[in-house]
Parts: sequence; C-alpha cells; structure tokens
Amino acid sequence: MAITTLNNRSINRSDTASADQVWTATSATASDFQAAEKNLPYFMAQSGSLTPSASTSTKVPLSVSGGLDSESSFDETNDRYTPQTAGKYWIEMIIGVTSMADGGYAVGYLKKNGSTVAEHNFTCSRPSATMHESASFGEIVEFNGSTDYIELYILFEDAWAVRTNQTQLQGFLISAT
Amino acid sequence: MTQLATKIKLYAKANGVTSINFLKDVRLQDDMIDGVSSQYIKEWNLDITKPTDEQLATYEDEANAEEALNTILSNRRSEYPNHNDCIHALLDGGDTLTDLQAKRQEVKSKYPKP
Repeated sequence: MAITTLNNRSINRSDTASADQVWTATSATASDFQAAEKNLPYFMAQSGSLTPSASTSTKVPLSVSGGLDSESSFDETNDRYTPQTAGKYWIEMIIGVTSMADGGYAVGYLKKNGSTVAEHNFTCSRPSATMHESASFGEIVEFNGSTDYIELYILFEDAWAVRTNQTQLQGFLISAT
Repeated sequence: MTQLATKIKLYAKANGVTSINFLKDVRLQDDMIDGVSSQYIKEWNLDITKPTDEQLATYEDEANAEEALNTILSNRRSEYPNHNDCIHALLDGGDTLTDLQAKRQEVKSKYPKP
C-alpha cells in the first residue's frame, strides 16, 4: 500500500520513519513511499501429543495453527522452520511437561541445521508431588534465507508427556541482512 | 519395547558403571522420522566400550522388569500422603499416625510390586 499522507500532510522523501515504522522509497516519486511492516516473517508452531523416551533428546512434532506462518516456511513433514528471508530472528521455545516428578529435570534445545545453538535446563521442585511445569527461553539466530532451518528438541529425565499445545516453537525477523 | 536409556543403564551396571549422566556421559537422540520414534546413541563418552545393538537387546527382559517396577514406584509416589502430612503424623502420633500408615498401606496395595 502506498502511503501519501502522514498526520494530514504530504510525505516528502526527506521524511524519516517514526520509532515503530519503516519507510521505503521505491522511486523518486513521493507517492511511492511504501509502508513496510516490521517483524515479518513470523511463525508459531505447536506440539501434538508426545511422550519422549527417558533421557533422550527428541525432536518435537509441530504444526502451525491459526495461520501463524506469514510466509508458509514451516515444514510440518520435517517439523522445521526454514525462513526465506535472510537475517537475524528471535526464536523462542516454550516447553510444557505433564506430571513432572519432584527433582526431575527437562532440557530444551534449539537446533540449527542439526547442531545445537541454544539449550535450556529446568527442574521441578515440589517435594513429594508431581506437577505440570513449563519454561520458555529465546535466542537470536541468523538464517541465510534459503537453506538454514531450526528445530525444537526436548529431553526429559523420565518418560513424562509433553503438554499438548503448550509446547511451542515460535519466532520473527528482527533484522534483515 | 523398552527404553534405550534403561538398557544402557543395565549394560553399564554390568560393566562396573553405576551412574550415568545422560547430559554428558551418553547422549541419546530421537529424530522422530515420519513421526516414528527411532532412538540412537548420539555420543558415547564413557570409558567402557559402546554397546552394540545386539548386546543391548540381551537386556530387553531385565529392562522391561525395571521399567514396570519404576512405574509402580512412580504411581505410589504420586498418591502417598505428602511430606507435611507425614511430619504432622509423626509429631502428633496416635490416631493421626495410624491413619497415615493406613493410607500408605492402601496405596501400596493398590500398586503391588511383582
């Protein structure tokens, strides 16, 4: 959409973007200033049911929901996100564990092209009981915009179940290359 | 089908290793290819020889028994009276303690060991 006015006045090429906007001139004509949305592309994928084997780093099967995959880059067959825009992305994982035992631990891994780029370990602390635990953490990850991909792996100390739909992998572009 | 981690623990124990850190000593991975579990040993950092699939298969029955026992113990833990109740019963004694012991026995009977 071409933007020609801002705050009821014409836009000139010398105008600069405000804090939350980006303006791009596509030609020397003032009316060709384009409003570009920030943080595109983005995605969010959620887990289905899964009970990973104890002490085993297991790839989480994920599916996008509610159309939260702005450039259709999430591959549900291989459970991986391969963004087609190069740049730095904020990638976040949310891990939900069902009936985690007191003192037990869980680990979440972000794997880029099969190698771990971030991992987070958390434990359950509730004496003499089990409880549902969850944790989230994020990392800035750089993608080449063609072949680089990210996957979510989890490791639970025992064979506890993943909390369906409360285990997620999500992210968005924060800076194009 | 038993878990790979259980069979590795039994193999290690039979070879003199009584404790394994599955975040450092041995790393197991499951890539869930086509949604199907396919566990394998990703890294082996113990001093004993990495077992073959055939060696691990010999621990299948023992692993089954151990996992069944672990399930019983886990079920018991989740239904036993909690620590606070136990402390109160021990301090109060009398009927409170008798009732608590009865509850524990009830859970044990519900999940008997083989």
